[in-house]
Amino acid sequence: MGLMNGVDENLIKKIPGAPIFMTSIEWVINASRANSLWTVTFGLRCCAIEMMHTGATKTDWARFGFEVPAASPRRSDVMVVAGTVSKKMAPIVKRLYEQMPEPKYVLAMGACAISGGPFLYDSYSVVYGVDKIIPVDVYIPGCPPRPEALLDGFIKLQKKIMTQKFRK
Amino acid sequence: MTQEKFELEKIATDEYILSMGPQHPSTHGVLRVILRMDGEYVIDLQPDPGYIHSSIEKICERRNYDQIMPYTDRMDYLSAVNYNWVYALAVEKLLGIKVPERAEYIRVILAEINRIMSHLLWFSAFGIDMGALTPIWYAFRERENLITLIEAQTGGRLTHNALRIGGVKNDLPKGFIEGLKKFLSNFEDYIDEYEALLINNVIFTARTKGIGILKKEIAISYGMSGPTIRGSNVSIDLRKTSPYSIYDKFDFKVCVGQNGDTWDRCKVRMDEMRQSANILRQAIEGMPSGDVMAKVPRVIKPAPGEVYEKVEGPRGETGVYIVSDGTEKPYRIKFRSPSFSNLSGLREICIGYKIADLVAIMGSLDLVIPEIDR
Amino acid sequence: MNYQEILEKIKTKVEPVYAKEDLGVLNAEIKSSDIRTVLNYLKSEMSFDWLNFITAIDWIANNCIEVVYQLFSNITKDRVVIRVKLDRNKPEIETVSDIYRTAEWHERETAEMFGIKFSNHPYPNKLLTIDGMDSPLRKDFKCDDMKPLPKD
Repeated sequence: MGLMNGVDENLIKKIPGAPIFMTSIEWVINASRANSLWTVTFGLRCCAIEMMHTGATKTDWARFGFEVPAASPRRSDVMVVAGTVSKKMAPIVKRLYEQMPEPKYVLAMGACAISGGPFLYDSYSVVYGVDKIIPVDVYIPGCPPRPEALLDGFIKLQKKIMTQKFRK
Repeated sequence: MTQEKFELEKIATDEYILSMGPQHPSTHGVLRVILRMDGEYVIDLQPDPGYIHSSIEKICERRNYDQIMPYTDRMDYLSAVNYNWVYALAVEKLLGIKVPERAEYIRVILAEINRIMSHLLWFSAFGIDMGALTPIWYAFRERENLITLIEAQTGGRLTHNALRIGGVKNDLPKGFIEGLKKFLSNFEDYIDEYEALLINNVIFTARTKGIGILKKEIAISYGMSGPTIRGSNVSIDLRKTSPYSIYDKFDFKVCVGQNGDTWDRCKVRMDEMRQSANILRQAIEGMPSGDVMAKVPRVIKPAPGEVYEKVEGPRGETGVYIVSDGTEKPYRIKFRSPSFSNLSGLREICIGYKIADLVAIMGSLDLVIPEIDR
Repeated sequence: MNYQEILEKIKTKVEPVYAKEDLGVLNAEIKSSDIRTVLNYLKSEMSFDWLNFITAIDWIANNCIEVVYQLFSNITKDRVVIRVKLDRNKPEIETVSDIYRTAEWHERETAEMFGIKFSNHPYPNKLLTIDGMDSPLRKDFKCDDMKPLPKD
């Protein structure tokens, strides 16, 4: 799909009126991507319970579009890494990330996924942060972060998606 | 080129190995179960834990005694107060400290609230495994009320760090007892409603009655504890058989099932929620006034020795074993978690069933995987 | 039964190397060749039907590893602790997983954490660690990525 991979800048400049047209198309595509993100349920440790609370009734994330937790990575957009990544689990995180189709985004939730958390010092089996394995878009600190904090992280991811461009 | 003739008698299922992998919505965490299947039936299985091993026991050998308390509630995050309690009991026994009575009542109240919260989460997760997506919304509404109460006392929604060595840090805040009484005023009606919604549902009983029968001798030999063993008509509850703290002052009954199948284990947990509400009412009535913290030395250095303490958590017998050598860091600390022993006996109760029944049986054991791997 | 009576009953079967009482619980140290006799006797004759856990302690100063078995009786509510000292360079002991089935997983975990060999174990594979982490709970374990706590 040529439009989704990016259009060459020189090609756009030749057609009169095309840059203005492109901004509207970009807005439509970005808005439809940002408002219906499907998550891979990848709760590893305690942060998984706070993720379930964000989906429950008091703080409801379905208002913002994250309605469907697609369990399989092959049909999802966002991977929320919620918990500690150990050395035995690291190849599996990488394999799951590669199974997700483009465009894909990663949220690192909680102190353990950002940098190792309380298991940073004196531990022999913890990977110090999931960004040593896969690229991360938004970091959400906390141990565990409150549901409102996770929702704030999601909204920041939506804003990041809205600024994507299709021009190379 | 010859083609094989289609013969009706030779159609058969094959044996193959299936890996119910670490990332799976029904394994409640990161657990891998390697299954040997014949068609749809399970012939053999071998659990493969260790995907969340965070070397907590090695870390705790290099921390002071009061710095270990937050690590204890990250192992089983659904019953954090029970792990805090067993660790505080062990260190207090080594030091020889007696906890004041008001602090004991506060500990009982926080632990029973935690037990109700843990069973409510089990209820939602088990419903999702079976395909029932409604119970989670109801159960999480109750959980939010309880979380507000515990957060007012301890400051944390999930990893509470609720207790200290020698008592509790603060007294109960203003409005806690009124909030708890308001919660308990209609909680039993809600439990009746949840039972009618899921446990007595026709599809649920067809999927769980007669499945996964656990015999009494196998359960004791594998060291299973908690509602898993009480479903098989074995009346072992550490709050009654080896009472710790002030549990001998409360009047409650031990809930047992009759046949040992999956449905009995579910019913036991619903009954336990009612008994916990009963204990909470008695604790609110009888709470005395006084201090909430004993006199503890500023630097905790117990005498050389060792201790093993155990409490009844929502999943079973939770224990901690500390070896002290006279310094301010423990020489060896080991946590005995109930899910470790409960999972080791999975082979005995799952052979010969279909894979959908395996999901139901694993859900009824109520496993929390970071507790197994520590 | 108090701890003296339990000790007398154990002495009728094997002679313990050392016995003491620690916070009300009998700690009996026995030789590693007697472990199956003692545990069979405790399970069948003295109604100790519950094995709480099996673990090990690394006494690097005395050059030995000590394996600890905690037992409990649901009928008489007694507790007893059986200890066995093994040589640190070659620790080997027989398995008890056919007497108490819960010992199967506890022995697997102790074996990989301390490097102990439990002979005749039905499934002696690693449980929690991966290749490259050998006996991590020993006191002289070194790992390149381990970050020590910074001292302020």
